[in-house]
Amino acid sequence: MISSVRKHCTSAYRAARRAMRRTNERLVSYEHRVAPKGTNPDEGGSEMVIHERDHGGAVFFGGIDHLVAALFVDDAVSSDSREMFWWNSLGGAGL
Amino acid sequence: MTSTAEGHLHDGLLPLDSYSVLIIAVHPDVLEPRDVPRCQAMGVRARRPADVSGREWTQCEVVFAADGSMRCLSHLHSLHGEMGGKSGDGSLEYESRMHRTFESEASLLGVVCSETGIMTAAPFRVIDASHWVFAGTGLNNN
Repeated sequence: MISSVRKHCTSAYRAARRAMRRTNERLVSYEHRVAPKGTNPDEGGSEMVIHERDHGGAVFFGGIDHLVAALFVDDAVSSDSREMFWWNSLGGAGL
Repeated sequence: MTSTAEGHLHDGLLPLDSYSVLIIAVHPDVLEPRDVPRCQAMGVRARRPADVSGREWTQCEVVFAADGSMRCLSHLHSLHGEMGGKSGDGSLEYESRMHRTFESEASLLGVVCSETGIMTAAPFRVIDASHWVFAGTGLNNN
């Protein structure tokens, strides 16, 4: 039973890695930049991504489900996000 | 800062042109197709637009009903945890549920949720603290 579960997990993991590589290969062409990255083993951590657009906008991909909810209750997330958007809205280096 | 619901975006009650930053949370991962062009328009026309999202915020197409209810087109035939599954004949692998029923959210955001690290928890580490996005945060590469 344990062997079966491990085999399944390994198969799913490999499939996920293949899908991730395909996705990343496609997106790299859009001038993406990975900012923070999760410290999971084997480089498997989630990524926060900055996607800067030609017309001056940008997309910040939080890489975590609860980032927005944390804005209201987590001082570190809230203050860092405020700095990011303050910099952005005032036309800092990137925008 | 204004907190609103996705229904306000759909109904046109949220004046996107009045904002420079759009923060979109996650689950139930909603956008109705007709709302996508409006968000795209914000990204193109606004003076300094920036979006921030959690993760997979447009993963699933939804339909808003006249009675105020919402239906998620969320069925997914995923054999190994794929985000969007495959087409009926297996020739196409979708990037997400939105991709399966409408269009990949990458066409709007330029990014799409992948399986990397999904359903896990680990601290994040800054890779390049010199990037402008970290200005004023005090974060560094260590």
